[in-house]
Order: sequence, then structure tokens, then C-alpha cells
Amino acid sequence: MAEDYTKEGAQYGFHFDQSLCNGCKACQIACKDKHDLPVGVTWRRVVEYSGGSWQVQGNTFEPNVFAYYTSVSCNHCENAVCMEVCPTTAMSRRPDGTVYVDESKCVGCRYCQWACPYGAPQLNAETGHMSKCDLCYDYRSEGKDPACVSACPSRALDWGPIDELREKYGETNSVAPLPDPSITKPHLVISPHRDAQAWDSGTGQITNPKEI
Amino acid sequence: MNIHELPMIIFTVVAQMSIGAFWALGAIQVFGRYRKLTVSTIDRITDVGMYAVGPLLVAGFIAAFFHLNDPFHAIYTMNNLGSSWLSRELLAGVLFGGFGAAFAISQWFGWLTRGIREIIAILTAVAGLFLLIAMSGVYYSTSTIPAWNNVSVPLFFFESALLTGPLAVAVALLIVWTSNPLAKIRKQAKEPLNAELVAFLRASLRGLSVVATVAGIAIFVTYPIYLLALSHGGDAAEYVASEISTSFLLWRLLLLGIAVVIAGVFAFSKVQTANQPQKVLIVLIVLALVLALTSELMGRSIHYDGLWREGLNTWQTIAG
Repeated sequence: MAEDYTKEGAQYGFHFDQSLCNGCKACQIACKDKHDLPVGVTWRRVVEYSGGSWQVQGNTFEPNVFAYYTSVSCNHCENAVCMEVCPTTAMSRRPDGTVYVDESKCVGCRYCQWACPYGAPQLNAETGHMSKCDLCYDYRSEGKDPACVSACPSRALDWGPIDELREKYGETNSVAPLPDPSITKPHLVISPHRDAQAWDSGTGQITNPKEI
Repeated sequence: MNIHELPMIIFTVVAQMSIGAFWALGAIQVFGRYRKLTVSTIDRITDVGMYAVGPLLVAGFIAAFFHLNDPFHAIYTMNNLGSSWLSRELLAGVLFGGFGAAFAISQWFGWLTRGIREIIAILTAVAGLFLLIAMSGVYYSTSTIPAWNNVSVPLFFFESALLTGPLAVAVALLIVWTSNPLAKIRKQAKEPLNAELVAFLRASLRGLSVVATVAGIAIFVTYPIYLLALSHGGDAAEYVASEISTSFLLWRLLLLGIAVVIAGVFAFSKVQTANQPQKVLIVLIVLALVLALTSELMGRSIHYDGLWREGLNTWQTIAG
């Protein structure tokens, strides 16, 4: 029998290993393909973050540059700001802890999109409703992994109950360019890149803004 | 101009104008009583304005509907009053519109007693305040958008209501002074305004232009404080500060400046000497209203340009 991947109270989330990601965007495309998303709707996005500074050693200034990728989708946050602001309660949580859009209620006002610091809810202009990652609920009910996790060639993505992920990979979730994690308490664990910058360091910038 | 948010720009500016107008009409009622005028006399000059507020608000709500991508689900928008300021805004809007309509209809047909009608009017004014607070809350409560999570946003909204509302009422008073459209509609005998009522009308016009001028100046003072706060408010806020500091903002302030000078200097002094509704006065007040409204619409467009999050801004944010 397939394992139960929609367990009540499991509080599922993602793990992302920044040190393994090479920015190929297979996760993004797998997601788009699986959910048949129209142009302009991208539930999982790969953000390129780069920057640099000078290191001073004695009389020598040495450049110190960095660049790394972060694959982000919905983090099924504990304090989901999208659910808080949604006027219709269409943005709701399943018993397994994942957040989804109840399309029978959504009015398409985009307020959730305005508020989410991860850009997770996006408007599907074809339906007039908001849409977002539901951690592949249908795949999980069949005992399968989410599409993005299966697609990653370098195995940088993992998923599971957030407590298990934190035990296995640690507690880090505050890497730039992601926002202050205390706002929403994301169900996300990151194994940071060796050059990863703190969320509030302001040392770099997103270099592919139109791709995310 | 922020075309994507045009429905919201029109809705917020127009709804705030109707709240400000309703308050201004209430203030004239209170002022008239202080001057010991009879209620029906005061009504003669405030009713036109009051009947204009309703359609104005309805127009605003119709505009807001265009913001929704599935208006058929609009009935669900009050499901989350416990935590969503947007739900609260809609409730407040319905209350303001509902009480206002009840007051206008009972006033027109002379239903209920005067006392009960006045209670409904007070409820409308309070609902208007609730609507302004909820409207501010929709933007102010978004902790992830620094350009909105700033005390200047509720200030701008209140100032906007007190700028455009009184000017709109001033235009309505001038219409009453020039002709009496209500008497025409209701086929009543046209009584000319007596000297006492003309004096009261002029005093009201002066008061309205003073309030509008002060509100306009307040907007002027709020802008540098707002921009200063943004340019020291972290990456996302700094980005917005530099994005909105354009000639568009300059024109917005210039138009506002002209409106304030017209209302505060020319119209105010013209009213003092006018014994009849002169053309110059009408042109001045209408011009002040048109300029103030245009400036506020531009300012609200700039407000929506402030939609820039801390964290990730997706292509959908950039494209609007």
C-alpha cells in the first residue's frame, strides 16, 4: 500500500538545498507542466541572487563576489498572511497543513498576492481566480512525491512534515533574497549555499526579476 | 498613470469624496442650528448635495467591481471579517451606502420622524468614518509592503476626504444658490433664498473652502515626511521612494497647489463680497474641485505604484 502523504496534522513543507542547485529550473517547468499553468503563472520560481563587496587584507582590496539560486514556491506558512487578508476565506488550509485556493469562493481580488512576501499566490487570468502551489495534493493522495521534487536532477528539493525536515536538515530559512521569516513562519528549511547572505544583509540583488 | 489599478484608484478617491461630502453636509446642519435656523430651511441648501452623494458612491462601487476578476463571487467577500481588512472595508461600504440610502429616501418622501431620520444620518456619518478607517487598514496593515505600511497612508486618505468632499459640497451649494433644481424636480413653487439664508450659505461656503484648503496644505506637508520615511525604510521602501519621485508627482503637487490657492485665497475672498452667485465664483469653485480631484486621482495612482514587497516581487507584480 502506498504511504499516506496527506496525513492530518503533518504540517508539510519543503526543504531546499541551495548548495546543490545549479539553476536549471527543471522544478519550475515540471510544476508548470503538471498543473498546466498558463503563461505568466509560475508557482515555483528559481531566483538568482548575486552581489559582491571588497575584502581588505592589509593594503590589498580583494573582490569578494557571490551568486546562488533559490527555488521558491508556496511555503505553506504557519502564519499564512494570504489566509489572513483573504476577504472570502477562499485561501484556506487543508487538515495536512497545506494552503490552497478554494476556487468556488475566490473573487480574484489579488489581495493575497499583494501581501505574500514570497509571491506565491498568482492570478490565473483564464479562470479569474487566484492559483498557487498546493504541494501537489492530487499526486500526494496517490502516494507520489510533488512534481518539482521528483524533477530536480541534482536532488536539491525534498518535502515532508516540517518537524522531520527540521530534524534532518536544520532550522535555516532566513537566506536572502527571501524575506524576514518571522513575518509568516514558513514551512521551509534551507541548506544554505556556502556564500548565502542573511535575509537582512542587503548585500546583493535579484538578477532575474522578470523570470520569477 | 497606473492603469492596472484604475478601478481601485477611482473607487478610493470617489468613496473618500462622498464620505467627506457627507461630513461637510452634517457640519452645515450643525452650524445652521447654531445659527438658530429652522431645520427645513437648512435642508433647502443641503438636500441637493445629499442627493448627489449617493450616486457618487454607487459610481465608486461600480468602479471597484472592475477590480474583481470574478465578480460573481462577490457575495463571499465578507466571510473573513475576523482578520481581513478588505472584508471590513466592504462591510463598512455597505453600511455607509445602506444608511445613506435609507436617510436620503426617507428625507425625500418625508418618512419617519425628523429625529429618527437624524439618527440615521449620524449612523451614516459614523459608517463613513468606519469606511475610511477600514480603507486605510487594507493598505496600512500589509506589513510586507513598506510603502503602504506607513502612517502617511491613512493620513493621505483622511486628507483626501476633507479636501474633495467639502469642495464637492461647495459646488452643490452654488447650484442651490443659482437655481433650485429640487423644486423643479418636485414641481414645487420656487421660493427665492431670503437674505438670512444667503448669509448662511455664504458662511458655509467660506467654511468649506477653509477646510479644503487646510486639508490640501496637510497633503503638502505629508509628502516630504512620507518620502523621507521611505528613503530610510530599507531596500523595498527606498526602491519605491525613487520610483515615485518623478515629474508625475511634481504635476500632482502643482495641480494641488493651484487648487489650494484658488479655494483658499480667490474663492474665499470672492464669497465674502458676493451678493449673488457670480460666474467668477462658480468658475473658481468648480475649477478648484476639478483640479483637486485630478490631483487626488494622480496621487492615488502613485499610491498604487507603492506596491513593492519586501521579499520576492514576481513578474506578475512587475507587470501589474
